[in-house]
Amino acid sequence: MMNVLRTVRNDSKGGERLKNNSILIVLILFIAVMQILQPKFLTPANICSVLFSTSSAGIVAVGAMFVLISGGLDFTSGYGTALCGVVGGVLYQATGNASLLLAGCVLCGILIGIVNGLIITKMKIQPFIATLAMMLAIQGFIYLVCEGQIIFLDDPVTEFIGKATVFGIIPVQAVFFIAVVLLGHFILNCTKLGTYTYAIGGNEEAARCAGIPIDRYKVYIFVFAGLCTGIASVMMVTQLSLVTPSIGTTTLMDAISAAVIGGTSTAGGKGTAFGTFIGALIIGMISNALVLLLVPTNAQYLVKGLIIIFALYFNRLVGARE
Amino acid sequence: MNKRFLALTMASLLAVGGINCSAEETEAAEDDKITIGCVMMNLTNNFYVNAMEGGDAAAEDFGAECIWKGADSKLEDQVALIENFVQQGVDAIFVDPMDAEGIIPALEAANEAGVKCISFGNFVNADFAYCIVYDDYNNMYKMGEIVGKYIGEEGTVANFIGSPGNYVSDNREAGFADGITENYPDINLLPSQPANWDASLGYQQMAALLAANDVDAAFCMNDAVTYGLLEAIEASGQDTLMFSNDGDIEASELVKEGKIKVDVLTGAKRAGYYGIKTITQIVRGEVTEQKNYLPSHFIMGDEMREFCEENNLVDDVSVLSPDEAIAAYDNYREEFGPDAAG
Repeated sequence: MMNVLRTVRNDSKGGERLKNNSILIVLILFIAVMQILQPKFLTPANICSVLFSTSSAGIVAVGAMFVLISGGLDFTSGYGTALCGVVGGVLYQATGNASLLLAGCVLCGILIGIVNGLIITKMKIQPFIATLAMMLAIQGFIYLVCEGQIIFLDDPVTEFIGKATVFGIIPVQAVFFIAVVLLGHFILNCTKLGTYTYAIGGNEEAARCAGIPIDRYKVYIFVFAGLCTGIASVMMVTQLSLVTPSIGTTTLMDAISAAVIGGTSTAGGKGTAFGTFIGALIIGMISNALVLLLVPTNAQYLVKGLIIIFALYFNRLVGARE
Repeated sequence: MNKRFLALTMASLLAVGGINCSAEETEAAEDDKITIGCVMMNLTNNFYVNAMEGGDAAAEDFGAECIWKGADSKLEDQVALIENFVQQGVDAIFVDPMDAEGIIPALEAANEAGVKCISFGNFVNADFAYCIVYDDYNNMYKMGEIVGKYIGEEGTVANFIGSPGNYVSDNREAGFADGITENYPDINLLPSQPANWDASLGYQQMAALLAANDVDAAFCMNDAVTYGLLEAIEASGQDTLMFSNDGDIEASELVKEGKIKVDVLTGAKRAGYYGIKTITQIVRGEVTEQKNYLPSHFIMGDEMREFCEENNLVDDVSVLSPDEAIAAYDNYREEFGPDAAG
């Protein structure tokens, strides 16, 4: 059974390769155009800024990609990062221990993933609806936990994760992002979980007939997405050195856009970690470009939307040729 | 024995009479109590959590009962809640409208049913409607004047807003922009950055701005995002001056440290308390003005205060030191309560 499923995955992976190249072309084109329009685009300070701002949304995007490949959708990652941050922040406030902050963020993310997975598999509710409802519940829970307060962080560990750079240009946050991308790539390509994720998203009924314990693996997929949410919340709170209930609430759209621009199919069954990595860079660079080019406020959403549509269309054209 | 029996009987009668009397007084007090149906955008945002706390305190002090409902940031839910409150027979409706135009038909129906209608933070353009608002435009205009003068009437200024289309955000943005552009033609005011009230998004925008521009000063319309901007400024190594709004306790501490040059104290608890107090006065006919402005205070350290006074920038506004602002943040009862002066 595993061999058959691997063949299915490898077929879809082969198809993804050209798409990955096409999204890489979009990225290179975008960088070239931006460098012409704004020569400061490729300065070390700006590259560092892009990597900083891409990391947390990119990590969330890797988790979102897993859920999308399995044919689901996860709405909890935006407010989830806020809840994870708040839980970690409250633990830090109570103990002054940065390790508990990190553990609290990550464990809270995993817990959100478990609850999402159990609601979807045990209560048989569609992921779209289940995670939408969970998003509302999380919003309420955030304020129960911290009652709107702001918690400031002052610890060498959080300073290092949030602000340190490698070779003066690559933020430690970006190293975490790349590590999560590599982990996602490894899981998708070298583990049973990866194989089953493609299989469930490609054809859930066929996967069930093939004997895959669908429910259990769906829970695992949401747990991985929750883990990514937890890690992303660590990136956010350490970057800002503070915890607020509104932190990261705008991440959801960027994360899903990054995964989809990176070639992940919203119908399930397709997607790669590398594609999502490039997609996250493109989304981060678009946001950065809008600021660098001093695009007027009211036009920013329009321009961002148009660029995303262009990237998706270009991707689809290349896919159609293939 | 008879005397003792008589005394006991008299005492019992007096006690029963007393109980009846106090029950009647309580009933009368309950009858006088004003019931206010409060329709907020939601009840989870920290602004509303704090506004509820202040509002409930005012209800206790001014003989009212507040029924708080959140509308999940949907106009249609707000309309449904208003209709429910009218059916319940509340005396007043206090609404923070998602859409100041779209809410008018629902409020018209409430007004026809004899319910007083008061909007919160947002002006509803209807003859019968009252509103409790911040003097945002003028405050932010003043902030623009202060920022421009302080940086020497030239240089580059960034402005971080909430979200375009939101009444409060638009009003604050317009006030600040006019305060700069009408008074300082040599200042380059960069296009506003929509941080969507999210500190992490604000951080990213500020980091990108600073990567390509030398920014002399930045203004952000809410403190929670300002904290993120300060981190981005520190990471960039630039010495951008920061100005903010809200007057959170943490922000006042940063004014004390000089990291924020000027802030404005509005405060959600103060707003909630002042709002409910004013509604009780409207219902009792003690207040008839349609627009009721929450008094606000500029927060600045000694050096900035001296500068502003020398340049006649704060002659017409209230100024508090950071310590005074921290004290005022929670002392809304002293400022607006039944025993407050004036």
